[in-house]
Amino acid sequence: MLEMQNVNKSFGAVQALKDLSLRVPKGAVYGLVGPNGAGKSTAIRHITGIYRPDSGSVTIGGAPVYENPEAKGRLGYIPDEVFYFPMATLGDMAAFYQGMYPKFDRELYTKLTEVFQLPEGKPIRRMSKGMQKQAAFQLVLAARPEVLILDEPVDGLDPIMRRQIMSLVLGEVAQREMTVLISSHNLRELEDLCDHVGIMDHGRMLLERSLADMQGNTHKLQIVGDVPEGLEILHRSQSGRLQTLILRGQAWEISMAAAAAKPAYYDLLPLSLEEIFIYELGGVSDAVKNILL
Amino acid sequence: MRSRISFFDKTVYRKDMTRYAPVWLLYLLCLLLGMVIMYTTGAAEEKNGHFWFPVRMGEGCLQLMAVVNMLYALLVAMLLFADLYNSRMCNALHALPLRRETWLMTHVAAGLSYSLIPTAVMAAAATPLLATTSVADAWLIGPLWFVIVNLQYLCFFGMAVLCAMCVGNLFALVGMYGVVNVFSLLVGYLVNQLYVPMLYGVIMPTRLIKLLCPAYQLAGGSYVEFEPYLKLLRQYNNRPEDVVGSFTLAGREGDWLTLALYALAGMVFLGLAVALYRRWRLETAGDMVAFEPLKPVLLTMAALAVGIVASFLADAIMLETWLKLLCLVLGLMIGWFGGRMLLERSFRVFQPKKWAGLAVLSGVLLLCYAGTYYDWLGIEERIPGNVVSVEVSGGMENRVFTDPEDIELVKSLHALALEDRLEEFGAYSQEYDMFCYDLKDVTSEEERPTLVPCRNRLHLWISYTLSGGGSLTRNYVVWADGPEREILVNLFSRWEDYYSQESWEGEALRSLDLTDIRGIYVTGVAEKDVPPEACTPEAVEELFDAIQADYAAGNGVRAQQLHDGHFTYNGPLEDGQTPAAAVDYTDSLSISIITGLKEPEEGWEYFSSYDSDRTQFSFEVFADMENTLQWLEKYDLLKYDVSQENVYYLW
Repeated sequence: MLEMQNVNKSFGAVQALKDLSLRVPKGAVYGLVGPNGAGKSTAIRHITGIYRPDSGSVTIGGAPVYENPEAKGRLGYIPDEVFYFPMATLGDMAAFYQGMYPKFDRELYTKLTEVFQLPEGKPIRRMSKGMQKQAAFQLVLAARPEVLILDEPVDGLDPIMRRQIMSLVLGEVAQREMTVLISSHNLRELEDLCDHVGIMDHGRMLLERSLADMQGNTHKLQIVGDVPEGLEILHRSQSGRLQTLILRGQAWEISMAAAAAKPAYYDLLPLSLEEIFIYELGGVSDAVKNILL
Repeated sequence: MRSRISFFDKTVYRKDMTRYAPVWLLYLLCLLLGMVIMYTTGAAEEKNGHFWFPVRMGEGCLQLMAVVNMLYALLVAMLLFADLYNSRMCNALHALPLRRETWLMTHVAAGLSYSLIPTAVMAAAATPLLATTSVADAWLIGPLWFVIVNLQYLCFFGMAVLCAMCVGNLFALVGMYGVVNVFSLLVGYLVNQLYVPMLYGVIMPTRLIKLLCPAYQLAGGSYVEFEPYLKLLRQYNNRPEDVVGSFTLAGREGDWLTLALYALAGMVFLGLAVALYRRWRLETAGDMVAFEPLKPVLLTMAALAVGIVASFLADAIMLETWLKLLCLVLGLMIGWFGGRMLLERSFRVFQPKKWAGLAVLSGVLLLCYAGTYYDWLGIEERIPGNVVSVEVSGGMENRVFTDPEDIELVKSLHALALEDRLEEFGAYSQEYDMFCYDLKDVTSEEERPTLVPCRNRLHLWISYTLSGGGSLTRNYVVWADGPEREILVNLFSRWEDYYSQESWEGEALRSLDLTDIRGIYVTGVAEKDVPPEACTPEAVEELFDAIQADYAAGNGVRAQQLHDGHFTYNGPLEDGQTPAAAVDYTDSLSISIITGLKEPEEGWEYFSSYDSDRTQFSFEVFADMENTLQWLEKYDLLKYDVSQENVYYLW
């Protein structure tokens, strides 16, 4: 559905994206994670057709995005800092979006007005940061995008509104198979939302997986006794006689191997998303570790 | 699949029009207010409908609108394209489902509408008012005004949009637009101040400089010609029934073409703006320059602009040439490094490699200076070969020659003028004047701040029109008593040329109605009226015969330097006249003929007489015009001693 292939981008002497590739299947919720300066926003500006890649391609449903109004009309984008015409009210912007986006749903917009309860006649710039974010969601969701791009979407929102908005987004995903790409520097806030995750650092994609794959393929084994052989150990630690192993492999394979070793005690535990990434990425920089913990 | 290219988006257009509606509505209000002022000013004095309203709309207002359009176009571009310079806004807009061409051209359409709508309303409001005035078909001036104003605006707006695409912030937009608009004038000033004075006799052609400055050119544009002045004067003389003006589209030669070229240039600028915008890198929002290759160009322009201003200041406080050069170089440095600081947003711009461009620029200017000083291109000595016509002016004379023999004569005069140059005094005509001043032991009662030519020298202007359409103009001081004099007399002492000249003076001469002589006056130190009984057509015809005879004898030239002798007043002092004023030298006397108005040549006397019913023409008489002096003696009008000796003095 949404695809970046070997995208490179330089700003003067600085190479912001290096052979960046990512793929977001239709109906997926994709979390793009990385520390500050990793290139997430630059990648998103390529996906939304703002920047032209120096090389590589960005496509939606096979169609290039840059300078393609038809493809961009299927995209909804909420940047990290919302910015509208300086004196525009929510009503002004709704009229503008209605002219811009062919699928803009006035009825849905009215429904969302009841949800967000924002003042129609007040200039958006005079609203609080959180209210501006809500206004952006109201406008973009009413445009009925096939792909929703969110750059640091929950900054400034209180926990209740955060939950409410995400439930709206996920509702759209469920009802219309809307594809969502969410950028964040904090993996924890994406854990409950995403089914795919990509981790970026220094303009590169370090890791890109489906959450199900990762959670089904990495496990924590606590064991007292001999460590079974033939398992791929990502990490090992010991406290007294208790050894804790992070292992790559299917749960049943690990259980069978552990049982076959006849230890005094063993237990197979699930890993949190952060733990998976920490152990998967192993030797990456501290900057990346910071986003995980 | 890519979507097809569209150049207009109604949503963006509607947003542009509503977003800044107060601006163009205020502009409209100002236009309407201006129209009311133009209509009402002086209206009470006009007895038979408004006459001056169409004149103001068709002439002065159009010239003023050139300046207004220059400023308004910049303002509109700043409003419409400011979004490009705010990084967040820029990103948000470019995420919208629009192609860049669509976005830009829709903004351009809105920008043009900012002028088209207010001026259309203004023209629509003015047209019925114009129709009620005393100028025939004046209602046409309304639509004409609309077209001309918008062609002007197209030029300036195109330029402003192109500048907007070259830069990355509003400050840079204003700066670049300002410099681009006056750059040719600045460079012209530099050349005129520093280089041209080193070239003996050379006058810099200003046509190209003016052409490259649309504001200057358009503010002097003339597109319609009114022919009602005399009739209007009659209106004030209680003859309102005659007051019907008319106008034609015969403005100043070439102004319509120039306007069309500027409008075309505006469209080309817009095309270039689209091409640049397609390559505009959004990440440059907020920077001074949007394109890397433009940096040296803008740096050079900034350096030159500051350098020229510094040179101008040096000139204003009358520093010597070498100090002007020093100020120029210092200004270049300030402009160069100031520009770098703005471009790089840093004060750390003095690294050795960043001096290279400045060194090249200074080197080029100094090289030009040396080249001009030593005249490597032989500009001073050039006498053109392919001449179509040549205009010669000097000492009250001005003639255009097209006959090949006459042109050759002028060229030989040109060659003599070059020989007259005195190398030891450099190329400066003023120093040359100083030399002559000392040489001739001139006495004067008081020191004069401004030197004027001595009697044996003549300031001469020669302007060639070349077969390729170009021109070449020179300005010399020539000796008026050598071989140059023979040529000058040959060229200027031709009655037919004088009589048929196309100037207002020639028109006034030809329009004299000799059947209606109202008076003849002889002026000089004292004034002498011809007795009324002697003011007959026969007396004037005798005067004309005498003048023509003097012309034929080679004494008809009006430049006093080309005559010998002087007059000394010897008559009695009149009441209130002081001896100092009476006992004085004069080179020439003036004979003025006052006649009634000759109908077919109406209008010209407006410029030569304050009396609308009369016309006046004056001849200068010199001490060597024997035939004219005889005419004066015949009518007892010569109250001066005539001497054939020359007196050198300042006057």
